[in-house]
Parts: sequence; C-alpha cells; structure tokens
Amino acid sequence: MPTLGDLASFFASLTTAEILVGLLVTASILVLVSDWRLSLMAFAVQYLLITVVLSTIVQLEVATVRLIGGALVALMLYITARSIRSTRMRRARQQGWTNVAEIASLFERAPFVIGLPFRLMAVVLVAVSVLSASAQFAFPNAPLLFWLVSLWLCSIGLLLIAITRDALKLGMGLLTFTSGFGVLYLSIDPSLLFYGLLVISDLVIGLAVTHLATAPVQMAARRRGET
Amino acid sequence: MNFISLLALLSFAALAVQLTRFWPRLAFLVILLFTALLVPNLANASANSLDVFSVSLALEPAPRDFITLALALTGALALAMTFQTERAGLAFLFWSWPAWLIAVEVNNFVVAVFAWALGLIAPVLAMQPRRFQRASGAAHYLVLIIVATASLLLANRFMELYPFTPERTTLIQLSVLFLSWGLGLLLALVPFHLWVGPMADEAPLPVIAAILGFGQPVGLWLLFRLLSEYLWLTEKSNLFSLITFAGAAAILLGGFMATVEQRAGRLLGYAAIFTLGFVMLDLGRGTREGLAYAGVELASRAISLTLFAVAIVVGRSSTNRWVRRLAVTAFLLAGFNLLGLRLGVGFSERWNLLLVIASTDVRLLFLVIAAEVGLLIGILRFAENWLRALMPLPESSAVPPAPPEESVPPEPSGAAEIISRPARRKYPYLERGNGADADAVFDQSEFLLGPEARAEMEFQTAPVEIDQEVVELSGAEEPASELESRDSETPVEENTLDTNTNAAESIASTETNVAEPASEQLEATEADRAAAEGSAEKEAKLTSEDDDAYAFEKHMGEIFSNASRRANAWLSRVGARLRPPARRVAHALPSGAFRFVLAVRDLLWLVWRSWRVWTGIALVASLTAILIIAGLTPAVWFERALASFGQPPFAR
Repeated sequence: MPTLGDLASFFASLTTAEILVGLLVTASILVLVSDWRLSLMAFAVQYLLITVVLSTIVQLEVATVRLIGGALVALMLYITARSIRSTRMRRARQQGWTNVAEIASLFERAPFVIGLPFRLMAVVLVAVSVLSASAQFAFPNAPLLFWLVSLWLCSIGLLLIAITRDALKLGMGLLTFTSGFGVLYLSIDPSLLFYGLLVISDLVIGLAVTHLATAPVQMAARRRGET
Repeated sequence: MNFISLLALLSFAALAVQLTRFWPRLAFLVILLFTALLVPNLANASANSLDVFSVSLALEPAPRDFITLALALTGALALAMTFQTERAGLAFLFWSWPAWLIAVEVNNFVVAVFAWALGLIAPVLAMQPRRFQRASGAAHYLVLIIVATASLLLANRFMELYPFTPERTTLIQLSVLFLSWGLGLLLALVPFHLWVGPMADEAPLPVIAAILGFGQPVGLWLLFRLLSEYLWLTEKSNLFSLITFAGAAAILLGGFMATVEQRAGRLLGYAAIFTLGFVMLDLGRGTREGLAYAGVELASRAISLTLFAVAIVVGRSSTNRWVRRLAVTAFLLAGFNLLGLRLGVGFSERWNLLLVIASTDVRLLFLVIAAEVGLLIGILRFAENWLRALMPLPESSAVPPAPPEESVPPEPSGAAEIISRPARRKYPYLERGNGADADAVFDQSEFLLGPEARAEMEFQTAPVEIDQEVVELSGAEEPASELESRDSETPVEENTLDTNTNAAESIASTETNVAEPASEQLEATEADRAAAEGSAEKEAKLTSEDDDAYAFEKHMGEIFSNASRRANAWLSRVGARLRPPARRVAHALPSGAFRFVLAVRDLLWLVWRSWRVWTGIALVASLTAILIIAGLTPAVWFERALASFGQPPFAR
C-alpha cells in the first residue's frame, strides 16, 4: 500500500505541463465520451490531478483529504450508476428481453443533447476562450497557473451542465465546477476552514446528485404535492 | 438553551421525523412534539456568543424572532405533509434548519454562505425528477445554488480586498456584480427567476414554501450583515438602486406570471417572487423604518406561503367536504394576504409602500397595481378550478319533474330488513356492521355482561320485515326480484346488518329520485314507524337529506360506525385472551360504567380513525388564526422589528 511519502514523490514527479495536459484530457473525456465507466474514471483521475495542484497551496496531508473526498464521491456515483443499470436490466428481463447487448441498446439514451462533432467543437471553443481570457484578464491576487486551471475547470463544468440531460453527468459537471472554483479561491485565501467546507460540499453535492439519479418518478400531481 | 443544545435538538428532531415518516400518525405526533419543544427553546435561546474553530456564533434578536416563527411554520408544513401519500421528503424540511441556524448566527461570511447553501441543498433530497435519471428542475436548482454560492464567496473576497487597495475601484464593481449575481440567483430575482417554475414542478408544495418562505430570508439576513460590515459598499456603489430595481421587477414579473398560472407549485413560486419584490423595495429605501417594514413583510410572507401550501395539501388529501371548504377559504385568505389585501389595519403596511412608490413614479404605481390584479386573477382562477374539481356542482339545480308512475325507478337492492330504531339508538355501532361483527358484539356483551345482555341485544336488534311492505306500497315489482336474487346469493345471517344498512341508505338516498307516490308511501311507512317509536326528530332529519349539515353528520356517522365496528372486533379479540380475574372485573362493571367505557373507547377510536379530518381542520384553522392575528396587529410586529434590527449603520 502506498504511503504518504510515495504519494508526495509521485506528485513531485509530475510537471506543470503534465498536470495541465492531464486536466485537459480528463475534462474533455467528460464532455466527449458518453460511456459512464470511462467518464467516471476520468473524473477520478481529475480529482487526483486537482489534489496535486492543491498540494502546492496547502499541506500534503490536508490536500489528501480532498482526494479522499473525491474518491468517496466517485464511489457514490459508481454505485449509483451500477444500481441504475442493474435495475433496468432486471426490468427488461422481466419483460422477456434476454440479450444483454439488446437490453443495453434499448435503454441507452445519449446523455447529451448534442452530438459528438458539436461537443468537440464546443470543447475546442472553450479551450481557446480560456487561453485567451487567462492571457487578457488576471484575477486579483491569483497566480496564473491557478487562474488558468480554475477557468478551464469552471468553464468545462458549466459546458457539461449545459449540454447534458443525464443526472450523473450533470453531477460530474457540477463537481468539476466546484473543483475549479476551489482551486481559484484557495489560491487567494488558503484557509483550512474553506478547504474543509469545500470537501463537505462535494460530498453533499454527490449525495444530492445520486438521489436525483435514482429517485423514483412520480405522477405529475403527486410530484407537485397535490395528493 | 445554548446554541449547541439547540443544534442538537434540531438535528434530533430531523432524525426522529426521518425515522417515523412511514407511519403518518406517529410522524404527526413526533413533529408536534418537537415543534412544541423547539419553538419556546428558540424564543428563549441565549444571546451569548460562542467561539468554535475561530468563528463566533451569536443569535441576534431579529433572526431569532424570524426563526422562531419559521420553525413553528415548518412544523405546520411538516404536519401537512403527513397527509400526503408521498412522505419521503418529510424530514428534509427539518434537515435544512441546523445549517440555516448556523448561517444566521456565525460571524464569518464564508461559513454563513456555505451553511445557507447546504440548507438549500437539503430539500433537493425531497424532490423527484419528472423523468428517471434525467437532469431537470431539481438538478438545475442544485446547479444554481452552487454557482450562486461561488459568486457570493467571490464577492466577499473582493470586499475583503478593497480596503487594502482602495485605489482599485474595480473591486467595488466586481463585488456588486458578483453579489447581485449570487443573491439574484438564490432569491429568484429578475432575470434569474427561471429556476422557480421547473423546481416547483418537481418539489412537494411544503418544500417549495420552506425554500422560498424561510430559506430566502436567511440570504437577506446575510446581505444585511454585509451591508452593515462594509459601509463603503452602499456609499460607493448604486447597490440600493439595484435592490429597488430588482424589487420592482420582481413585483411585475411575479404578478404577471401568476395571472396565467394554474399549477399550484408555480403559483406559489410566483406569489413568493411577487411579495419578495415588496421586501426588496423596503430594503432599497435604506432606512431603519424600511428595514422594519421588510422584516414585517418577510414574516407575513412566510405565514401566507405556509398557509397557501398547507391549505392545498390538506384540501387535496382530504375527502371531507368541510375540510375542503375550509382549505379553499384559507387558501383565498393566504392569497389575499400575499396580495396585500389584509385584514384590519394590516393593509396599511402595504399601503404605505404604495404611497412611496406613487410619490416616486406614478407609472410604476400603475404597473404595481396591474401586477396585483394579475396575481389576484391567478389566485381566483386557481380557487375556481379547485372548487370545480373538488365539489362538482349538479348539472341543474332545478327540482327534476316527477316521472310518470309506471317509470318509477326500481328500489335499490338490499332492502331486506331494517333494524329497529330503539336498537339503533342504544347500539349505534350495530347500524352499519355486518353479520360477523354483530356476532362479535353479541359475544362481547355476553362475555362482559352475561347471557341476559346478549338475549336483550338480540331481541332489540331483531330484524323487522318491511321490505315486502315497501315494495307493495310502491307498486314496483322489480325490486322484489332483485331482492330475491340478492338473498339467494348471500346468506341472510351473514349479511343481515349489512343489508339493513343498505336499505336505510338506499331509502334515504333515493328519496329525491323516486316517484312522488312511491316516496310518499315510503315516507308514510317510515313516519308510522317513527311515530310508533316516538322519534319524530330523527325522521325530520331523514327527510332533509340534501342539507349539508345532515350530510356531514351522516358522514361522521359512517366514520363513527366503522370505528365502532373495528373497535368491537379488536375488543373481542382482546377479551378472548383475558384471564379469569379480569373477566370477573369485567362482569362486576355496572351497565352504566360499561356504556361509558364503550363511549370513551368509540370516541378514541373515532379520533384515531378520522385523524386527518380533525387535524386537517385544526391545522388550517390555527394557521388562519395566526394569519388573521398577524394581519390585525401590524403595529406590534413593526415595533418588534424596529427594536430587533436596532439602528443599522448603513441606514439613512
């Protein structure tokens, strides 16, 4: 099992360019790929990279808390996604469907409201805008690296929220946004209190998203509290 | 009670409600208990500050007054929610409160904003999306909370930075920009109001009322503290003008959107936006009086929104027409209160603000009045549709012409035997039971009072053959065949009392439809029997079937009879297990005491079975009373608000 020292040496071995490329790739996967397993893996790796970035602001022990929080959120999303899938499979089998691939295709509905070419175009546009904005505007008291990382994560998070119709994907976008905001705010106010609150809010957001992804759908009148 | 104890009690209340939500009566009692515990404890909470993790917590008078009221109203909302079939989100009305309590008490803005946001996120767990696994209203509400929180935190950071670099006036603009963005999103001010409708589609009404009625004022308190802390914010920016503009826009938008809205949740949301506009106008005045008026308006808004939601939930979950009528009346009262058409001198509060608007810009006054009319139309249309849905009116109120004698409708089946009236008076629970239950009652009476009692009861309840007599009098042949067929299908012994009941009901219910001679003959038959038994009063009631009061009495009688039947069955089962000493005690009971025990038992059972009716009436009536009292005593509230807010440093 890796110790904290191993983790520190791993973090130290990553260059800034590698971190930026890693964040670029993981965030892009979230927007471009529909498969929930790949997205979730990219999401977990993104949390790891953010922890690396944060470890330059706060102590490594403290930064690890966010990694643990991220792992917990990813685990919650994974369990939820598996649960949804198995529920759908069971219902389909009850109705006479037998082939797993057919069942999967039956229930697979694209989690995005736009197709892949448009998503790719959107990611490129966001990347160009972020590079341009970070070069032209400076956030008061924030170093450029953190400003750039924050702008990228917040923008891609908002893009993901805007183009998805899937609750889990929306959750990932939301958590990407909070990660970006956390990086920015901690770079100008590295307080432990804020850091702790950020981790708590991540867990609460994860909980709310998993609830929305698994909540049973009620009749319209019941939903409005009319029965 | 100090802050930690209060927080623990709130959390424990939420946990208890969470655990008991599947049993509505138990949840009802738990909510009642904890509300009764929380409200006085909060009203008398210690004002001393408490230092935890380098932040200070102190409960100031103004938020304490509001939270005390809001907690009582939360209890009412939760009680109403126990009436619904869907109670999964019941506890989240309470889970928000620990976070909101921290938000109003803590002196650190960052912690306060996080706590406020967590309190707003908790109700998301009570929402249900329109389509499975899809991101819609509730999910977008979650998104805006996060984005708004980030904006508020950034605004705070800029405000903190400005005193160190006063030459950078951009910081003021950025502060105001992010503050407006964050608060505008969470307070649903124009143009950030778009989330209200979709969220209202996916949330139960009590949850919407809690978010808008109690959650939003917490945010306004944070704004108040910011304004008090950073005086330069109001001196060097046009924040008050922005607040006034946002208030006016909210009034217009809320009023006009409500005009065409027929969905309960959305109507509630737009009415809340409408009233929030007046709060913002009061705040925008930047005076101490304006602040006090805003406080009074917020309290009145919270009561009205609560009554609005409670009335709809209780009215729609009850089948009792009196509860429904009361609910519609309470709904209208709450709607009028939101409009500003309040009882007594309470109207003066809103009138005062309208005069200020008139002195500023007459065009704006006309627009505000138009918005008021819009909301009034929305409320009246909703009430009209509700009434139509709940109480369908007869197609024609005129008395239908009597049909020719040969087309007399057949006597409803089941008119085999009618139980004797003295027995009905003495043993009312026999009136609508079935044969098996009657046997259980006979067994029970024999067990408790001896074989003589059984014999007496059997004698008293001996069926009287009148159906053939009735059929012969009415001249209809069909009923007889129907009755024969029915009798052949079901054993008489098992259905004696049931058919008796049906006979009594059918005779009563078809009085208006049967031909005049037949009904006269039926009445004559009944009158003869009644005269013979000396119960003319009851007969008069039978002939006044359409009277609402009698309908209500009849309805309650049904509930009472069902309650008695179940109570008897239960008592029989319990009685069979009694040990000999207990039997001797039971035998030793005098008949008067026995009847008293029976009456008490039936009463308790009635309360147990019809708790929705009683509690629904009590809940709506008590909230209505609070609304009326609040409307009649605005001066008291205003003085209280003035004293609570003190003299804010930014007030002009």
